[in-house]
Amino acid sequence: MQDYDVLIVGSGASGGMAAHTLTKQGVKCLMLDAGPQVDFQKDRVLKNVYDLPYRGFGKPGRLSHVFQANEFNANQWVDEQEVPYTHAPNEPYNWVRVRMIGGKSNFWARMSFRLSDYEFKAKDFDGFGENWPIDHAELDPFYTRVEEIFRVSGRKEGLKQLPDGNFVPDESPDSGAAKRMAEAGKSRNMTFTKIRRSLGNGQLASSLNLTLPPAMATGNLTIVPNAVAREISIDKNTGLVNGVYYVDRKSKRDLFAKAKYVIVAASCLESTRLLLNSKIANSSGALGHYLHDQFYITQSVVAAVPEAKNGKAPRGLMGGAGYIPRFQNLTQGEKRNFIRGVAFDFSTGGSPDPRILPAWGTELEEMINTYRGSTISATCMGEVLPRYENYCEIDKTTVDAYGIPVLRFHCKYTDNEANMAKDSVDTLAEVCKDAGFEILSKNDKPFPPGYSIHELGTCRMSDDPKKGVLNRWNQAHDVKNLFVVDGSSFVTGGTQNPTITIMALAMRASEHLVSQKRAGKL
Amino acid sequence: MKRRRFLQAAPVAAAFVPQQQPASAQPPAQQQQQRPQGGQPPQSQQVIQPPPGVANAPIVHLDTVMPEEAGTAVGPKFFTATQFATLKKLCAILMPAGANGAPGAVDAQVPEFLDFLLSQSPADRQQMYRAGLDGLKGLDDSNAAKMLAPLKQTWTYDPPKDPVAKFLRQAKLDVRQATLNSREWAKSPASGGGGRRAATGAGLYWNTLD
Repeated sequence: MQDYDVLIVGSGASGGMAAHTLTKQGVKCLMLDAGPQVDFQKDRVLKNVYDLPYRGFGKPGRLSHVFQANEFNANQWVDEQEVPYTHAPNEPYNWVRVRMIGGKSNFWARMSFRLSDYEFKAKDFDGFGENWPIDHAELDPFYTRVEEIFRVSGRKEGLKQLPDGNFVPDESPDSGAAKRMAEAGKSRNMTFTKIRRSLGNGQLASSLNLTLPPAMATGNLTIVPNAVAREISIDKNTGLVNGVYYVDRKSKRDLFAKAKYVIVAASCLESTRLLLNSKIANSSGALGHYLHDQFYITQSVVAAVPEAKNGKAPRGLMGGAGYIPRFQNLTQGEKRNFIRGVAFDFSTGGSPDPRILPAWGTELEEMINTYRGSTISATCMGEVLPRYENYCEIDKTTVDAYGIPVLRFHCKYTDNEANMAKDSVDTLAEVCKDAGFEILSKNDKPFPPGYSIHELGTCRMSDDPKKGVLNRWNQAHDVKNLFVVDGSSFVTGGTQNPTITIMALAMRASEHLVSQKRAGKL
Repeated sequence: MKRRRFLQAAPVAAAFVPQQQPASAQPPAQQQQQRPQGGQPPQSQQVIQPPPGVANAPIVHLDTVMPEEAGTAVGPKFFTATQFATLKKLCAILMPAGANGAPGAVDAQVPEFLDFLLSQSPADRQQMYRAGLDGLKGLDDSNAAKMLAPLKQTWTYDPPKDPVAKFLRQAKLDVRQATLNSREWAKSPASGGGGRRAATGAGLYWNTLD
């Protein structure tokens, strides 16, 4: 049996980046993933919706927490019966999971925004919570390299709350509607930017096509699909990690793999579940706590551009998407009933959802025709404060299909999120009105926690071993040869989609591991 | 071969999403990879020689039809006869046949489909449908404007408290979507553009993963 230096649990965005970084430097890696290797050509077939047994509605009740599921993609998500989780009925949590080589990076929306020092140094700004142990300048070189690999497109805007990156320049013109919104938004301190997006390569911007193939090409990576990590094993004499117990997903056979280092990259909550089930790295008591994400409200404001109704939009008025980065609490002392803020992304040129149109039958169809191509729809993405009271723990009464105890969630949004949502949606609706648009609907009620699939925290970093599970290098304070490199390490998440930051952290942690190993420190 | 030709001709529209999704949270794979993969030969094709004397006949893929194409729905199984009659009337009102040959919800077998869907649905959804249909008993063209008036109210995120209003809001979406997603709609002139234009969805279906 070959000896491996590093065992990586998970093959998604963070695990892929860890493997990419380590194997290039000659480190022998073994990667376990709980799911199969899929073939995007053979595992998907083109079908008409009417040939599906439930006419596209999907089997009722099958994926009740996955709002993103439909009958076409139902098989790509983790089956909630196979790997359940629990929460109190009045505290819903939508945990959306993918188990396959590449993980959620096969399906992400590719939004690639950097965090700023408004997030890294959030406590300095408004006194709440903790600062990250690092700042933007420290992560900047890693962001730059990740953006190179993932080919992030964007336009340099020079915004302090949304640092520019190493972009493939996006020189597409803004639509007339977006320009009108931008003009109207100025008085509310709003700025309008291009979406920053990982172009990737061809069909995907995933570990499956961008980081794992080069890692395999070094000859230093061995990938094991269908290997469900159950417990991290500790050498009682040294207190160090010496391997991982895992279950063969198909046969349910128990197996053990040795390793000198373990990198946990199983996605935020699976990583925390693995550490909790292993009963390690928790002298701080922070493990599982400070669970946060971004609250989402899709269709928070839907408006119509009158000139574009009845298919009469002049060329250049509609089309394309845009982004409004955080615009609230950018200066200290703003008088508001909440701290932090939201970002919006919006698309122009769509058609309204029939549910918001007050009509039925022929009248409804005529209304849809009238508004077709004339609407603007914005998704509100709000910062959720990381609170100790929001946490996950092991549910001692429930195990999954592999006999592994599952997570129980305790997570609620508070007045800060509610007040923020209301102010933000009201403000954007006013901006749309000022731009001369007709407001069709407005919604300021956040969707349940977890909906954004941006779960963060629960294994946070801190220079102080009493306050965080990990140090500034994503390395466990308690177990020096254990690293956790996914979104669980976040101290606070801002409004930005987290993946690009997760990958920058995974790259940085992996290089630190190599330097420590070479220096003989571990 | 008729069905296969149609499949090729079908517009490759965005996959149907039963609930409203954010553009940003929607997995991009469906949005950007809606291209049929057909026409490419398998990567490595191994030719197995038949034993001598056995004709080398290729194994063909037979063109078949779906179960529901070969028969009619047995039922109603979930709704009472009265509830089903109300549902049928409601379908006719919410989604009537269009002037351009577009089928209405009744032509698209939507009442029968919803009876089947609800028979497998979670208890709260079943209760919503039953209570709503009981509340709409006696619905006809002369009282429709009055009984469906809740649908004229401004939409709010929180569902209405009144059980009939709550049901109507859901039924409006379900009836319309079940019609647009029907085989009858796809084969009508309505799906091809012009007038009541609404492309029937086609998408890449994930097979059960190994």
